[in-house]
Amino acid sequence: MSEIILEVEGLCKYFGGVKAVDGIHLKIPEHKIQAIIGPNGAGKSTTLNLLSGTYFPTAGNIKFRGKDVSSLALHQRVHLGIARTFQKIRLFKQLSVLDNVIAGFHIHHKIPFWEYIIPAGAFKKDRQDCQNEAMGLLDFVGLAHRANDRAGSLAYGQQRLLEIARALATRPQLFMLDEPAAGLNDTEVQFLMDRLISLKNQGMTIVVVEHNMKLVMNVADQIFVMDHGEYLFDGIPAEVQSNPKVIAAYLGADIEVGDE
Amino acid sequence: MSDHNQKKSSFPRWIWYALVILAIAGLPILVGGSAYWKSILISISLNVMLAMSLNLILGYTGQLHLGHSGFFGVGAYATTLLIQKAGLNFWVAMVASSMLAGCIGILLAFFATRLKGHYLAIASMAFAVILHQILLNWDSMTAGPLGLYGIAPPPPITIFGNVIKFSNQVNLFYLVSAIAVLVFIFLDNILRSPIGETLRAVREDEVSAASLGINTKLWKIFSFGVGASIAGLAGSFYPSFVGTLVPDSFSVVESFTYLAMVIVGGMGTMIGPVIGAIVLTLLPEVLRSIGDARLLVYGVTLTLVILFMPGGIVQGLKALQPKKSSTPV
Repeated sequence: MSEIILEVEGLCKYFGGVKAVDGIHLKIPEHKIQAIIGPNGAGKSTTLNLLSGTYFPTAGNIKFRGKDVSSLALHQRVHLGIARTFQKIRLFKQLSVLDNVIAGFHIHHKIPFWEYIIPAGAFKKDRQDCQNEAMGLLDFVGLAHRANDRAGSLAYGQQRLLEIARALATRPQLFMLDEPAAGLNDTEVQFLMDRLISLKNQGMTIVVVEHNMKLVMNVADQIFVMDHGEYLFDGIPAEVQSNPKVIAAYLGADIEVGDE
Repeated sequence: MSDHNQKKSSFPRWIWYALVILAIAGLPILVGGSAYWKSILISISLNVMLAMSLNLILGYTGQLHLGHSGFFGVGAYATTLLIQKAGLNFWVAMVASSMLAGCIGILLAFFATRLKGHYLAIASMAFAVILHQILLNWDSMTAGPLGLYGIAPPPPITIFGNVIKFSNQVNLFYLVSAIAVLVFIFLDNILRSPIGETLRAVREDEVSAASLGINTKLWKIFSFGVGASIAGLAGSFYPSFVGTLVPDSFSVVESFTYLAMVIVGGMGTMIGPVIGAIVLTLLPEVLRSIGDARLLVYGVTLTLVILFMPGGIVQGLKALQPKKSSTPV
């Protein structure tokens, strides 16, 4: 078993009386693809928002490589190597495709402060490096040919891929994707799966919240199932597929399943 | 919205700067001996600085800030009071009041970062109203509505043995416009650096920006701080060319004039606010001959520009150029 990169203990998030996430325990091993699934309203996206720092938990804690990050905000966790994408696409629509990715290098610029006012060598080198790395990332998601187009003009599936490229620019160790396959066609899902596996092989740890079972069952090493904000099941794809509790949660309570 | 990374002008940048410097050098000669037109030239330079600094906050960082007249007022009054009451040298007072305006901008930003959109607009307007009221009512310092009089121009400086007096309006224009050009270069450089990308990311989507490690609060404060100190710097020169200082020059209504300059010129572009400031400073003066009807023409012009060129004059000019072919797919 590889090392644990993210450890979650007793994680809760209540919105008023609604228990969106209620007492989740989760250990995510390094260099693996961890999927989080569950029916609508199960608290998957809320969990991802808590892990990334978009929300703060009501109770419980989150440890990244043994360090408690529960109280760190979204932008602070990026510095540790945690990146995320959004369920509802949030690109900088008015900026070019390339500029979207370049904005992702925010925490990696190596420019002495005076060169911001009077640009010189280090500034030009940084610009060139960012440009090259950004083009590399665009190439990785198959968007290099659209680099100079406005991000808002991309097709829906391409916007999802661009968001991935932009998040990768932060050079994450732990990459969390919120429903990356939503709205993609079969070809695009296939490409996305291929890219996720490629990232895993490069040593990245991936957490993916997803409804698309084809993607989940094919790429996930481990699946965490939630229902009504709580833990339901945890296992490898084959176990999840045949688990009666999971089937019941997905198909509805009216289906009789064993000792449920 | 302009895009610095991809913008490739057919003209090298230095040619543009050379043309601008030539124009600045030639303008006072063009207007001849008219003191009236010389003072308008100085006005334009100050308004260019105000519009550019407002554009940093509004156009690049996306913060709906409507209290810019307040920072201008802080610069103007602080400079004058530091000279008259504290006996400071003009240049020291100028730097100090620009920094003071910057600090007040940072202070306002601490509140502003908790507010968005319309709420920020109202809060920033309230800031300008409060400042105007302070200027009106703090009699012992500002002399209230009576105002301060007999304000001297900046002291002469000596360059290569030549004494340059700023009581001469042409010299004052050269000084103020040189500072406006430096401010332009400063803003243009930082906005073409990663700071520009960061601010535009904050403008486009704050949550997204945060997901890339951008501390949105910090960068909004940066934007307000820099914008306010530039407005304060412009304010330092205002009393020295008008000679008097009354609170009504800094009423909240002025904020809307600067806002109009930014929008008419082209928000979120470098050159837009410069064009906007020139056009909207000249327009009322050109129309002076038609009396009060000028307000009508001014208003109609504004409405037409906004209706037909929502991206401002810059957008209108771009539409005239042949379209750049987009990247082949």
